[in-house]
Amino acid sequence: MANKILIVDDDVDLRELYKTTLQNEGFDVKTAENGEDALSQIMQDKPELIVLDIMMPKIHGMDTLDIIKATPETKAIKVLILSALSDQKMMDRAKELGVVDYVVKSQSDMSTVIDHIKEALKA
Amino acid sequence: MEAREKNFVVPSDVQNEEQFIFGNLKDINLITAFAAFSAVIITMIAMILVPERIDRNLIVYVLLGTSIFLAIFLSNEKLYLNPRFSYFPDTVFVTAVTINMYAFKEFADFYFIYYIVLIAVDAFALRMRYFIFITIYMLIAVISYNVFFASEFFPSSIIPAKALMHVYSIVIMAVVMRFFASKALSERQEKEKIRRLAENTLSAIKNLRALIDNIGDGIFAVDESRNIYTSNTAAISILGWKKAIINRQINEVMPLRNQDMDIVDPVLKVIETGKPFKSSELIIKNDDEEMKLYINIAPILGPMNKTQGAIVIFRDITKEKEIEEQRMEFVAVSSHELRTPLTIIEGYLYNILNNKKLKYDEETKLFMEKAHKSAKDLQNLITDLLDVSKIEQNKISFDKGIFDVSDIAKEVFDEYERKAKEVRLKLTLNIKNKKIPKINMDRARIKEVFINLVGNAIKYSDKGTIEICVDKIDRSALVSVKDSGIGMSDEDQKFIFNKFYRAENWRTKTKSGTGLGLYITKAIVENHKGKIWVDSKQGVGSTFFVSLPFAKRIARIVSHDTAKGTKKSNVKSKELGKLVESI
Repeated sequence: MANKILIVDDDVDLRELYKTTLQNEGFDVKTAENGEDALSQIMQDKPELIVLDIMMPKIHGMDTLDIIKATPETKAIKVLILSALSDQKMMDRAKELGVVDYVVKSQSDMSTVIDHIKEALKA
Repeated sequence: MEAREKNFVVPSDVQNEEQFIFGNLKDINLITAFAAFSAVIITMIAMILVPERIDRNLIVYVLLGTSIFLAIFLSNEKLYLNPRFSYFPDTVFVTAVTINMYAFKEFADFYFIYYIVLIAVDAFALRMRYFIFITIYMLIAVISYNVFFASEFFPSSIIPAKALMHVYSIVIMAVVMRFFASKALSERQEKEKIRRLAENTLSAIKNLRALIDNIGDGIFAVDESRNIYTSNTAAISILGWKKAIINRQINEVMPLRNQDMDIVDPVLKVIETGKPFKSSELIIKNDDEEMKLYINIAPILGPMNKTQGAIVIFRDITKEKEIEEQRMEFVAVSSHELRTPLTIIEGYLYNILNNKKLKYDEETKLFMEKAHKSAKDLQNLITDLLDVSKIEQNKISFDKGIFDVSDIAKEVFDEYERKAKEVRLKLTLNIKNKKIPKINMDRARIKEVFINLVGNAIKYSDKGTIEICVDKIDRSALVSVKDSGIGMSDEDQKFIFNKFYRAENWRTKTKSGTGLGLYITKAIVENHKGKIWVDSKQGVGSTFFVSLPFAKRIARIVSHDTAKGTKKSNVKSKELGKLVESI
């Protein structure tokens, strides 16, 4: 059974790219464009991994993460942060909240991102 | 400065050889002319009263002299103003007095006093040569009178005793008066010197004042109690200070804070340590208004190098900082915007190359690979350029924390061990010293440094082992990355840390990378007060060394919690780091 992954990112082109790439790797991929959308999708159909961007309109990524980790039904879902921000404080806070990994977009090419996602699913 | 500004006229230098206490040359000549004239008048009166006592020759002599004297006196002003002119009336005067002293022996005392008085006046006019001349002349006059007019030829009592006594007394009196007169003159000269010095000094101060008032930077001078005693107009206008400023505490006028908004007192530190405070960006918060300043503080040293106060020079950089921040924001946003399409390009090229369903020939595949590689290179370049721009503007900030350098080395080793194996290289980790004190630095950045060095080692090696070595020297941790790769020439070693410099792989004749990696690495290391250097031999291999100084005051704390895993200790060490820094 293919792993279910939810990609949350405000940029439509990036969403499409990650969806295409991960589907090519054999994953079952859904996308959400913001935190609200993501949360409602999660409640209906729990993914195994959430790939979460931080800089998003409406609800900030970290707030979405807070909610996911605070809700009993969803707190067990693995979350991987995929963000342009490389701020140490942000990374520490994310780690504190229990994310599986924090991948900085600007420092990683697609191959690296895929590797991290695969590693996260194994963890 | 609330000093009174007086309008001083700097006098022109008096260049005359002879100094006069009273008046000028004209006045002096007038006085001597008066003296001579009065002597002549008295002689003439005497001649009228007691004609039998006067020698006819003498009358001729005196009248002749007087007329010549009057002629010159009244005619040519240039001659008259000549300092040497006064010799003439003096001569007339002396002759007249001498004659009278002899003709009217009983009035000799009167003439004697009269002469003394005029000598005194001349003494204070102070003309030494003339002075000596007079006394010598007196002697000659007396002797010659006696010789040629009074007696036959040098009789034994040639010079009447009383006359001689008079002459001697006059000479002595003249010398004594000269002495007192010269004292008076030198005092007057001293006062004159002091007055001129004061004038020049005040004039210089005026000019300096005008200069510092025209400087755009604010300037304060404080005494050792940090009270302001001098300020320039810029200082007051920059701070918008409306009240009196002299004798106020500088902290009242300029309450400074650092970037973290903590109250700081660099002026106090400068006065206490005697060491200058080199420019920094500090903030003043006055009534909710924030102002950013660039400040320089230098101690004022007094005798025996004791600090007597300080000079504070500052500039308002609020606007500049705003502009800079906007610029940084622009750079950050632009690079972010640049990255998104690049991610798309790289991502889809990756997809094309990794999609098993797509079919294309070898040539297409090659083209795609080349394009893909370039896309990745561009991604790296943007990241590096952003870093370089931060470094150049000194904007690069570090999240410092206390950690163990061995931990970082191990992390990098773990991440790259596999990658090294993929290209048939062996990566090893050698921790030579287990008891290495912790360092207080930006963990992510230091890790970047090691990643860069290991990455380079892998890139420039085609065989052999790459060894990561962790040791300590002096008060620093020493990490080295040694490879047995292609090495580099002495030329390369000189420039290897420069921007965009890439050593040529002399085997494959290619260059790879952005050329910025080592530049950024060096900047990170040096910003943490560490050192980086290379030892390499072409064809043999290279070793890069990085020394990182231990955290201060913690040098004795040896890692005892490294076993606990990095997640929690990271957070803890950060808190600890903050605590340590605030000590």
